[in-house]
Amino acid sequence: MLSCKDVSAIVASGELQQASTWRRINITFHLMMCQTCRHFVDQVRDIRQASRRLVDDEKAPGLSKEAKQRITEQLQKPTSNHGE
Amino acid sequence: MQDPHFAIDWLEQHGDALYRYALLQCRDKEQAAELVQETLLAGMEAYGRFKQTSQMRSWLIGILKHKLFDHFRRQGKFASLPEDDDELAAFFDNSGHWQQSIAAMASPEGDLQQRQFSAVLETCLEKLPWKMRQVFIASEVLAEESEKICQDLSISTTNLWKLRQRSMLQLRACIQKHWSRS
Ligand SMILES: [Zn+2]
Repeated sequence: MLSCKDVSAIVASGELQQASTWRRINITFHLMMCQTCRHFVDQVRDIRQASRRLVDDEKAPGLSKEAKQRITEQLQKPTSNHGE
Repeated sequence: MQDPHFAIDWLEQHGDALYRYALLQCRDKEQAAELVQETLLAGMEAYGRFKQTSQMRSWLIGILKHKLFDHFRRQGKFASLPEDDDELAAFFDNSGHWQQSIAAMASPEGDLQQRQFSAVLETCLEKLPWKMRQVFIASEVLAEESEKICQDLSISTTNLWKLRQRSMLQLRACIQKHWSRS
């Protein structure tokens, strides 16, 4: 029988996909009986979705126009001693 | 010197993502923009070594990460911390049950709520100890392979597993405290 601690470890460490069938069956049983773990799993899913958007979401705030302009100018400079 | 048009295209296509990653790590808008610039300049120099098999964005984020990690290394962030196995005691009792039950939490819906949720996530992420934060960013934000994360942070697979569990437990608790849909 898996404990809540075990279930949280498997879910939070992202190992659920790699878990054996037997393990997954055990987790499913645990979740049927344990509301707190169900809520935990739901919230981890929301957190994961939001996390993937932090960097890749094109709608999230990015560089300001001024910063982009400044960087473009720096990139166009023929000789540059920036960076390294 | 390489043709700057490459780098200007990169700025157009990946500049914002690089900036968001840099900002997540250093929390300073000026410094983050500076890092994007340095990354693109270094990318121009190193373009000959870019392998077409990898994604341009991951390649550029790799360069940026090198710069950040050099900085972190100088700050001594990589120094190993003592293992703290009591940390989980705050969450689970001796038989492995939750110390406190978790109430349902409304999922963010629509652009506005998602943006608010992201803001809460970033605030809570900032509160995590450095190594946990790095593990979270690498595994959940960038979705990197475990092997790569272990290598970058010089930790074992077991350690990664533990840090992922702990960072998620702490983040979730923090987010629930600060997130309300109303
Ligand atoms: Zn449970």
